[in-house]
Amino acid sequence: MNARKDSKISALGYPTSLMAPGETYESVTETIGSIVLTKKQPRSWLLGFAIGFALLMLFFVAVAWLLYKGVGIWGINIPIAWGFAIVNFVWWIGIGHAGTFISAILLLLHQKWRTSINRFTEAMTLFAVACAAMFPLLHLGRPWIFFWLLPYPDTMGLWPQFRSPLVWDVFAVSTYFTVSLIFWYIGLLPDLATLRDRAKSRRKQILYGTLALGWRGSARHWQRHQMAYLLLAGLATPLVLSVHSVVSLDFAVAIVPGWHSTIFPPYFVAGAIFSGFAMVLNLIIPVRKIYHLESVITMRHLNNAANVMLATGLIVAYGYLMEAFMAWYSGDIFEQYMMVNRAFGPYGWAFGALMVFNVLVPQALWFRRVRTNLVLLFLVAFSVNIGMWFERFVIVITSLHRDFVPSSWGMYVPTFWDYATFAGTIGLFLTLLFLFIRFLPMISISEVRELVAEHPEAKA
Amino acid sequence: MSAGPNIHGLMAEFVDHEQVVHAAKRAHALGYRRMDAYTPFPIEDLPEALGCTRTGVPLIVLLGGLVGAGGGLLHGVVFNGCRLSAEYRRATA
Repeated sequence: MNARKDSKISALGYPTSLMAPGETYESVTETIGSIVLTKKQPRSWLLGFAIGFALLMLFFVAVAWLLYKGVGIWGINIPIAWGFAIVNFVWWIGIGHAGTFISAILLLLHQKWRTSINRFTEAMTLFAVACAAMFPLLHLGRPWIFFWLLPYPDTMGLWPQFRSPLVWDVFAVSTYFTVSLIFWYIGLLPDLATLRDRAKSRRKQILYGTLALGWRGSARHWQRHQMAYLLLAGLATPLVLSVHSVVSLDFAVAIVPGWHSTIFPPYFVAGAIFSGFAMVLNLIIPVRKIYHLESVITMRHLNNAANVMLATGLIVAYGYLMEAFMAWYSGDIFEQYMMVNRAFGPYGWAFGALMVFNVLVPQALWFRRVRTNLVLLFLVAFSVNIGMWFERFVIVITSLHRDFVPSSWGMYVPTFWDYATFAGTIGLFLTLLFLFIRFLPMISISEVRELVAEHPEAKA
Repeated sequence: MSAGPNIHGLMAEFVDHEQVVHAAKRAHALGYRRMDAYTPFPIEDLPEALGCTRTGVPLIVLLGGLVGAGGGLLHGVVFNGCRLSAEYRRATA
């Protein structure tokens, strides 16, 4: 179905309104707050939560079986000793980066269109990072000594291998999670106070009141809050670049052809924002329809998100091109074989899928008709999500399965438990997301009020 | 004022965020200092109009950042120092 015509269109023909006309402070607060406090959850919430929770139960079964039997239940073997675990880890972390991009980077760039989507996408980041963090722990051969990844003086004089990007990952991802959590919480404080003030039951007043930490909306509170928010945005911004660069270095520091590319850090970061925005669109398009949030999440937001996706998708396509070009230009026979095998070998179908989902389909976003059509935009975003998963699959599996010595070549066959663990993390993500939608304001009420104040027709 | 309850403070409600800033500026100009303003969203000129310009947040963040960065850079030094001294002690025992 096509989106309602936006009232304001720019001279170039793009939707420009950040909010539907006629919104007041009370109406935006009511629209967003009532979802948590007063309105009954729609059927689709229950359905979505049920599916997510069922997959979460599958996750618990898969993890229990893994801890009991060991990583042999997965399809990993020599030569492909790293399979779905690393693919899914990189996929989830990549998805998380869009949230921080929207919250932090767009804040520093004074982009007003971040306002109604930043809370939701920041929550998406936190849950995506939580899902990602499962894999480095689960894929350890001896997960019960996971704490050996942390540097502490022990009786054996044993330290982590600080030269390894896998250890840098521990620091990068935990820093990312901590900063994102604090940034999200600070942003939530005024809204938790709003919920506390509007709560009808004593229980909710106490719950939100405790979480709101005594927020009164005093000018002094706001002064400190804005300062802290800005500083946290400044801290989170370099993390968007550094965390996924460190993750890409997991591959780039190896000598395996197909991994040993200097283009990996910027290519992975662009890919992360690409897949992250795809997930944002995939989540926001249905949520905004079901919860009637079209007045605050307008076509401008979706159009801009689509444009970011198109831009980062082109950077990713450039990365593919450069990999192929450098393989040829280098004259390195191993690199060249890797490229040929990637496209025409046993996993060529995955490479083909990658090119279609990640390069071909997103080109539809050049057309405004696609960017402003909700169904098409949703489908393009879904294609990108799948495509980005295939990208990590192609990078990991095709590079490992045939490297230098032909006698070591092999095939990777994922088992049921590989798929189950992955589906399980999707369940974890959905469960957390639906709980967030149910109990917390998914749009930043105070920031949207600021937007209302800037509209000349706003009334108190 | 007639004999009645003592007035400890005065509160005013405004319709517009610009009115709040304007009132704060005028009250500040008249010499009032023990003031506060409550708004549902941050207003840029308001803390200045009320006369509270300093906040300790940037300094605390800087100190926290220095401790964290310093700790990160130095923990390898400190822990490997502990290790080296333990090895030395063991080797020369």
